[in-house]
Amino acid sequence: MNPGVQGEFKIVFTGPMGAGKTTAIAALSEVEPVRTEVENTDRMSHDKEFTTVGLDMGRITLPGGQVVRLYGTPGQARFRFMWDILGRGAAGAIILLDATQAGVLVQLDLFVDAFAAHVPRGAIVIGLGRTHQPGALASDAFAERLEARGFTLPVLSVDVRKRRDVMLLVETLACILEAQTTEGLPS
Amino acid sequence: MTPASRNIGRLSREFARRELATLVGTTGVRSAVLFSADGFEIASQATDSAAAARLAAIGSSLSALGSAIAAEAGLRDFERTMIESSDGTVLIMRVHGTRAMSLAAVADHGAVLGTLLWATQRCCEALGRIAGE
Amino acid sequence: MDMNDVNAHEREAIQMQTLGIHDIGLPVDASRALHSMLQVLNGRLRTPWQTCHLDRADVLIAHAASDPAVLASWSRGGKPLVLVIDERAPRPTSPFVLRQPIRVMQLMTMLESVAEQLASRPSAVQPRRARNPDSTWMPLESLRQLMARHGDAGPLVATTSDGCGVWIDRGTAYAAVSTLQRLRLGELRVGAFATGPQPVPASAVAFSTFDLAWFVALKGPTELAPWLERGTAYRLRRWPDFGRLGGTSALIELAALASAHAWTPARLAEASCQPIEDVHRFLNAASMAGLVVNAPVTAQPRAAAAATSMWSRFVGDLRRHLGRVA
Repeated sequence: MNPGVQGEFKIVFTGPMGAGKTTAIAALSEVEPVRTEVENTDRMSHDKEFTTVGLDMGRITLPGGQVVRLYGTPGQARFRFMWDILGRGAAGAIILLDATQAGVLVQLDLFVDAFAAHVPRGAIVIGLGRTHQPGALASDAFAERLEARGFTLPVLSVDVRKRRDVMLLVETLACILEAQTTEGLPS
Repeated sequence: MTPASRNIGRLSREFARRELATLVGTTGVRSAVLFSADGFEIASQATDSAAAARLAAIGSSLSALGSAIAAEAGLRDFERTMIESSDGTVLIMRVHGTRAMSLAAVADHGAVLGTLLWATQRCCEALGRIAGE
Repeated sequence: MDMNDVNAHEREAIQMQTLGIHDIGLPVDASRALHSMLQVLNGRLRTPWQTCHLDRADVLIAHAASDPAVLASWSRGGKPLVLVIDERAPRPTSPFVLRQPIRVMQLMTMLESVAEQLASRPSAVQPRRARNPDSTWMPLESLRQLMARHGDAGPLVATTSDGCGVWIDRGTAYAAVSTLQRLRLGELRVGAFATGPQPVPASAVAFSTFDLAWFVALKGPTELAPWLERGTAYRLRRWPDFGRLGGTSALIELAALASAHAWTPARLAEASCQPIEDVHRFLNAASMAGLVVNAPVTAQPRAAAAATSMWSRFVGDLRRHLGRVA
């Protein structure tokens, strides 16, 4: 994936239902994002009114004229086909997780494996939400889990309702992509 | 109770299955799945149940994308979309009722397009009438 | 020297380097799994390992809930202790921790870094003293020694450059909310830890001693820490949580480079176009927080590409767009 060729590239926001993908994209996009939210009938998995079933899409135009497209995936595993459609050709992926959700480490493995297949090596950043709430798993547990599986990926405690925190995730991803160029790796 | 079963409202699963069976009786129609807007299968007439569940998820994405593209073009509600392939057709149609639902009908090349549209429309109306009561 | 001589030489070297390992307190299946992983790994590790009796062991692998008397007597000997914790247990402050279920990759990285620590000690028994007795290293050295004692140290206090306190009690750090906030912004230096008259105030918030170590080292000396070496290449094994610790663009860039590849301090400075002093502080902080491993120096990556890469232009543009100042 080379940003210079087409002057356009995409970053995918993914992660389980309720982790804040739609919120994160809305926080960054310069245009009103395309949303495909519908009524959530599965209140047992997550108690929220709406859920994304197609995709979210936002956009950032950089001063140099380059366009970054921000895509959000649905979170539930039954929409796995959308993960693959949106992941294909992405410059990188940002995985949002909820530190208080049961089985969140399994979710980490699931999304890392699904998107490592699509993005350049190492171009994944994990944004961990609700870390200050009781019962939250600390980001160290996630970093250790990744290390044990041979991945060195950033796990950053964030609140995606804050634009600054979403920017931290995107900037970290951009730095990883830059570092890979420095290495002289094919990207 | 599965999450999707709550979604039916007064429409009984059994009634839905009978309506879908009538639709699948139409020449060339191979299977039909009724699903919630968030991609849960509510009822189906299909030989492969795993395939029906996947069709429900993909169908809900297409319905949502259909609504998004209609809104983008300044048009009102999504009604239906049709995927035509070299050897068949998938028709996804909105069911009007108290809850957002859609119906996916899969037909092979033996189906006559007009008949498929009419039969699916009729099925959606029957399902919507019961769901809306 | 012919081939036989070389082989004899190598055999001797290997025999000299074989390290003894002993485990206590593990569930039977975990202990068995550990032993078979050791067998599988031997030959793939730079240093061969052998299980042996506790008295002859160089390293003890112990479940965190093992007999405290045994753990205390072991740590008095100054040899490395690897703590095994349960899947969801909070991470203790000792430098070597394995989380159950133990995985081969995790064990491999752990053994390599334990071997490195043993090799860097003048004696395996004597706890290492700072090469540089300069008092500028006192805060870091005192913290480092506290962390190696896996949380058995009672309340100790250090004073920050604005005159506030930072406490360590049983492996957890405490500070006032405002102090923690200023530490996060990199505005405070922290002095050496010593037993203090005041107990930890009730209003202080708890945080990880790894985080404290990160803050202290980032504002510490601009030289490379005495326990790191100029000629060694370092790589990040885990990323710092910049969301929690706070992170400037410069730090994020260093972390991205160091997680992609191992670098000597000088080459990392060159590749990042950052002052060597900042690179030293970054490496000191990352090593204090247990995030760094040494790696064999392979061909060093080309650094010159950085300035011209599309991505660095993109990062620059993105930062301008996002309004973050480097």
